[in-house]
Amino acid sequence: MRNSHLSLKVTALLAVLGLSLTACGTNNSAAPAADAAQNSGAPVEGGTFTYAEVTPINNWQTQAARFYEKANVLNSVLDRLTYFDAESGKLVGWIAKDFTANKDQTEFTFTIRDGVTFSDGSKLDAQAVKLNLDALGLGIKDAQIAPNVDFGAYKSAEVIGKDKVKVTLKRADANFLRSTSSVAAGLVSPKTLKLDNAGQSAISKIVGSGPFVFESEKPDEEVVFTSRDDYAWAPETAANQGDAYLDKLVIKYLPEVASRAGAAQSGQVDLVRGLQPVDEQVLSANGGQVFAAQGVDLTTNQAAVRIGSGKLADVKVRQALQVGIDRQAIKDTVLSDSYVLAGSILNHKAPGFVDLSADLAYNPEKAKQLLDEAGWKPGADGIREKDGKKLELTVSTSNNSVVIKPAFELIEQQWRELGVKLVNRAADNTFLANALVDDKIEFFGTRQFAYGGLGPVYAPANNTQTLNADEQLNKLFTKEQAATSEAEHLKLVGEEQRALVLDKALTLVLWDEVQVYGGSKNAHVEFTSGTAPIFQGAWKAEG
Amino acid sequence: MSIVADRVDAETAAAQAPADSDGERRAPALLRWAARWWVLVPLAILLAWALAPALFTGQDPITGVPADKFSAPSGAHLFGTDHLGRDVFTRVVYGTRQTLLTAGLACLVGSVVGTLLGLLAGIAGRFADTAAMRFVDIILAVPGFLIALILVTATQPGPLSLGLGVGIASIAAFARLVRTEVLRVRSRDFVQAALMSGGGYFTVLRRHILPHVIGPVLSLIAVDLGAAILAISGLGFLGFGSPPPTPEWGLLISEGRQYLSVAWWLTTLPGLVIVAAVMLTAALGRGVNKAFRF
Amino acid sequence: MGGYVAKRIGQALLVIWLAYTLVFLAVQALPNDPVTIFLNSDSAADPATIAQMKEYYGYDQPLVIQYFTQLLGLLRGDLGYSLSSGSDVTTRIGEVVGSTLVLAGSAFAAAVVLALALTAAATLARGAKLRSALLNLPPLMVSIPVFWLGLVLLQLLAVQLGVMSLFPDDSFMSLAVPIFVLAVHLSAPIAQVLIKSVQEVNAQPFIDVLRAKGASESWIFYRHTLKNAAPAALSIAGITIGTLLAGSVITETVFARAGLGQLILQSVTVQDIPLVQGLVLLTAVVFTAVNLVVDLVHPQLDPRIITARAGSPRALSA
Repeated sequence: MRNSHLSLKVTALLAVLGLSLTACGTNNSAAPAADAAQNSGAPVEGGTFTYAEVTPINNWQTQAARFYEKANVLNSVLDRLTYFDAESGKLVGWIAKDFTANKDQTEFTFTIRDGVTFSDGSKLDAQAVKLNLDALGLGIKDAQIAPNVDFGAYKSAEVIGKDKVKVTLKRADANFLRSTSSVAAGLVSPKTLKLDNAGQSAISKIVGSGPFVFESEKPDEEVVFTSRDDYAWAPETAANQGDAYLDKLVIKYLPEVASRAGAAQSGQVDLVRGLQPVDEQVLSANGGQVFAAQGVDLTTNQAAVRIGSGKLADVKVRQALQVGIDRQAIKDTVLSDSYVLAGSILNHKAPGFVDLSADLAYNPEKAKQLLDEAGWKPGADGIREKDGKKLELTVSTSNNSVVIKPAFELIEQQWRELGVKLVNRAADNTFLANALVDDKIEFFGTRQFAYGGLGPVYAPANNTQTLNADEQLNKLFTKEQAATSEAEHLKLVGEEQRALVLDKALTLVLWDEVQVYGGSKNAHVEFTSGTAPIFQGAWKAEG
Repeated sequence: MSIVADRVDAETAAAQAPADSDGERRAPALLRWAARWWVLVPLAILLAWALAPALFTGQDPITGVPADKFSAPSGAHLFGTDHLGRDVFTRVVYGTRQTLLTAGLACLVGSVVGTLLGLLAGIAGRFADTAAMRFVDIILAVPGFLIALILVTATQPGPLSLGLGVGIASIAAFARLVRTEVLRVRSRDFVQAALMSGGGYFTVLRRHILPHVIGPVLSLIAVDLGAAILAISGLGFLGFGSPPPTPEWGLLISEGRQYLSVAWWLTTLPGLVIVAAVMLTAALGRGVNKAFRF
Repeated sequence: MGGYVAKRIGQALLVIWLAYTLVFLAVQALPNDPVTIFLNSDSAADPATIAQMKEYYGYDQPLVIQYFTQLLGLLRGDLGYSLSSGSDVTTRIGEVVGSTLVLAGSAFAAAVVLALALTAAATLARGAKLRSALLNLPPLMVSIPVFWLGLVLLQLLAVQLGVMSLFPDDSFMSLAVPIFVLAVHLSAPIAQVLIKSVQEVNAQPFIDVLRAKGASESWIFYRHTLKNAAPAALSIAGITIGTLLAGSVITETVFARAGLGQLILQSVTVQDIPLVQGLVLLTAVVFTAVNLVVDLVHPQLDPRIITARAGSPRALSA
């Protein structure tokens, strides 16, 4: 079928290209002892640690730190009142050495640690904390900064005595304490809070009390931080209670997914986020390390459902799609062993997780039956229709997850069998910018920070997940937030999951949030419950 | 891809044809025959892929066999398989239609609007000439891919928006080419004579000017087709392509690039098909130009 | 001549203004505005906040007023505020323009050298087969997708051989490779124009006379042919600005470089309209200025241009 002369030339070209590129894949002769690095000795002092994020950030405004690429860096620049210890599943002290809540969960008192200073020399005292809480809870009008969504119940804060701050809420919120551990609740110098929008967005002007301090920036290419030698107020449970072992932290950007494994393997970076599943084996076989940071602070990866187009208004259709996803096939095809399939909207390690996996098992027959019952009958082209409308659904996601687009490609294939057409606009940020607030786009593929209950993620009428306030759900959220004992609170968090995933099927859950990082053979680093690298405790083995 | 450069290339390739022909006139007849078949047969195959893809492959372009993912090229999978276990060769074959459709629309927009502008500039007097050429300058002054980006963002990526966006950028090349050709032909004695002898304006245009302009335009269309394929694949690379599972050449490369370190065939083989197709259409352009020479 | 220069400058300004206006109208077709996109970027914002911010930045004004406000600002050198990057448009562009200038400038120089070398080789090489093989090189070079070449080179040089950094640093390789990738694509059209005009010059009688006098082929090529062919290549230089920019987007993406190309892509993605317009203005000014210079220099090199311009359009219009 091909012209013989042409094929000859093509074959020759192929041979050359094939050779040069396969040489890449099988280059594992130099597989040094990755193990040796892991059975570490004592941390090594000094050195520069290079970390590559997936995309450059220009706007660093603290409260908008819900993106990983911002949060992962700000985590080492800004301290918070509290810290969530993923190992024990407990909230521990940080800048607040002690914190208490009243029985109703409407008043909270933080005792501020002594001797903490911002890197500009000013004191991080009770007054500075109050100003920060006001900014988080009420926003900063003059600088066009909106309030933090986790602080929706916030009313006011007052300084009591010399080192205490009392927060009063408008309504009960059992999750309030945990939201003070979020990177988006990072504390900045009162001077920073007075800057205009441009000032509060510039990393060079944001002053924090964290272990690393801004040194220099090349826009879109790198940001350099230096260790703060007098840092002595790490979270209570941190292994390193002093200043960072490292001298310098360099943040770079590696948007090309294909380059990431190579960057860690060749030691050009010590750590890179967004390692894709197929590269995990390549990297470990070539002497690098693979770190899977579990996102305990986040919901599972999900396709949040919007009912605006009407096609998903019937709960039966949503429930059909929930069991119409073959999650195991997704894991086998486009994920890796670093990923755990979802058992609920909360991840397996989150406080209050309930395992719903039995109800999530792949069942195409049941899915078809539910769709039939809902009145969606297969049309001439195999796509189901009802009242002249085709069951054609659209999904939108950001491009920052390396696995989300292939996952939806596979789901698209699975749903085609059911007679459902999925328009896969995953990983298209341009489309997402508009789709985020368009409730006619049926699915938003995402995972969100959830510090306890799911209210902040799903309750507001303009929440970007469902873009809709469900009355019954919101009653449940309010009840949960007003829970007065931990046992009651966890039970209600369990009810929320059941309602969201099964009864209302407003979210199609996929897999637990995990961020897979590639590391060079000398890198030693651990991660927070929000998957951010802890650079304060990181170090590099010599060699 | 660099839309404007490709148009420049198109313009020059079309204009370069006379130079080539001198060399080839001396070549043995057999070689000339072979040269023609080298171009025409593969092009015919491409066209057949677009019209009846099912004749060339028995596999499914959009549903994969997950267990077969990332298989290297073999007898069963000529171009290997992708991350979902889909046969890449099948996707290339099925992708021909979408690719040619989009690139074809781009050419159509560019050639029709460009030719009209060029004719206007060449024959409708000095004011029209200035106006048309300033318009061309404006199109050139705004980066072509920016126009395409805005159009795709404002609507949705698909053959229509991509074709239109890429096509607008090529208007300038056609307008300039046609204007030059018209001016060249118009100054010739026979046209002057036809006008003097009382021939109507449009009669002269139809009988004497248009026939001379058609050759270069057709030739530029052929070259432009290749350039448009490249431009669309570049947009796909930047994330402005049709949504999956659409098989389209540019998208195949840009989606496969993520797996470059483990599956070289995902980018390399569709990439070579694009290189071949672009070179073939360029060769066709030169051939057409030669055939229409007076 | 003075009148001609003044007229050309006037036309250039007109083109810039019209390009700016055209893009102002085009971006209105975008489905959202910068404020909405920015405020909703991590969770849906309160409509009141959106309205307040729109008012603050003037997006609530009627289009006509927005247009003239912007135009006035423009005359004062104020291009507006880029919300997505949290700084002025001029500041934001200033941050990265240097990087693109270095890349694009060097790539252009490299492309010209490459094109000259190709032309010399294709004209002077011994053996018709070799010459025709060289003649086929430009079409091949222009057919290779820029991003594909960039990715393959990056994978090979940075990951496999380890001779270059994956990130832009100050090393020779980290600039040379992107320049090469961009230059390969850029040099093809320049080479094609050069080769074509060299062939035309070679066909002229005076070359035959030189040959008959016993001048060597390479002497003729360098002393006469090239000199006569240069103006044609110059005229294409102006048009390559757009190519350079489009190529820069892709090269900058592949090699993780900061630059204008990246910025354009970013600004369209987040629909940061003031930034888009600032960038369009910049490219329009650069493109028009380069072409103006080419137009003004061209007649100095080749007096036939003016004659042709003044002469031919009048021939039939009567």
